[in-house]
Amino acid sequence: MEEHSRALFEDSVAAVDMRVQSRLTQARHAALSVAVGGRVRGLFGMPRWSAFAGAAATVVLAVGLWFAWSTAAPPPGASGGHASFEDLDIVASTRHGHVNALDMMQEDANFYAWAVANADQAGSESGSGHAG
Amino acid sequence: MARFATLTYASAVWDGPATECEDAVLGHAKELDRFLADIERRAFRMAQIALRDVDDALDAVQDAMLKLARHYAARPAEEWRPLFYRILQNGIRDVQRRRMIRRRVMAWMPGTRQDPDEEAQDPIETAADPGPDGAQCLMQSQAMERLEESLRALPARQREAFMLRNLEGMDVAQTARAMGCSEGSVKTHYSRAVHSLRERLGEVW
Repeated sequence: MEEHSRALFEDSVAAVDMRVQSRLTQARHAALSVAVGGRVRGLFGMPRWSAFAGAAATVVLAVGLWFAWSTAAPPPGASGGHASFEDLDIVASTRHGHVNALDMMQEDANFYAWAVANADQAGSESGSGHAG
Repeated sequence: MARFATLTYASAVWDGPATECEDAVLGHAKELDRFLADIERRAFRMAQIALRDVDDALDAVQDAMLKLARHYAARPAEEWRPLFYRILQNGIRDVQRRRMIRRRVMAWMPGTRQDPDEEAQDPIETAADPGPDGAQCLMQSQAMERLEESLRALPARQREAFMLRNLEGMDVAQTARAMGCSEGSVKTHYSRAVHSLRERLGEVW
């Protein structure tokens, strides 16, 4: 089984298409330019302390969400409120030496903007439904 | 010398002329290039198996390359592989954590149940390409698909141990460094992974 799986994996590695190979080559060149070209600043040129500030902000956000979720009634179809502590742990978790909460929030900014807009829209529709 | 701020080890210990220092640093960079070229496709496939998404896998590999180059390029070359895979596994876990948070947010969103980024995929686009030798390739493709499904069904640490030990060919010590655990834990995770995979794949293989 181990040999068979290794052989299959090697075949799949050899079959990686040109588009992926091109992206990998670009990534490698970018990494080499970082290695030879010197240190680059953090995301969007922000200093390192901003990552810690971002992590702190994320923890505050997580606590806020936790309280909100704990006090709100679950939506129809939701499995229940059993996962509040788990949610808090996931949102607030950072790894030693890799404080990436800020990165995560920035990378998902579009998603959260979309989620908030959607919630507002759903809320206004729900409100107008009650009024009517 | 500021050009080589990341490769401080090479530049700091160099006593000779500046040109020779640059040669040494560029030689180190070439070695890093060879290392990354050697592992990039395997790393991509491992990330793809774990994440089931080409773009997410590419992002994880690129991020791992950049972090290795930024923080560990000056380290001895024999340390790169476990370091790289440790960074990659952390990156994969970050993506999985983000997805979990998104799912939780989506579950609490009134009137929405689907993430716009997770629209249904085109079955023609995602179908395996049978290639020139159709039947043989199809069998291999199906076997690989079955293997990937079985790997994804494993607990994360078992999957990591199996991929690093068996698919990447790292020894126990390297795998332990890459996973950030003891060699005994690697052996346990690997043994359990092999046992689970044999149970799952035994009927087919």
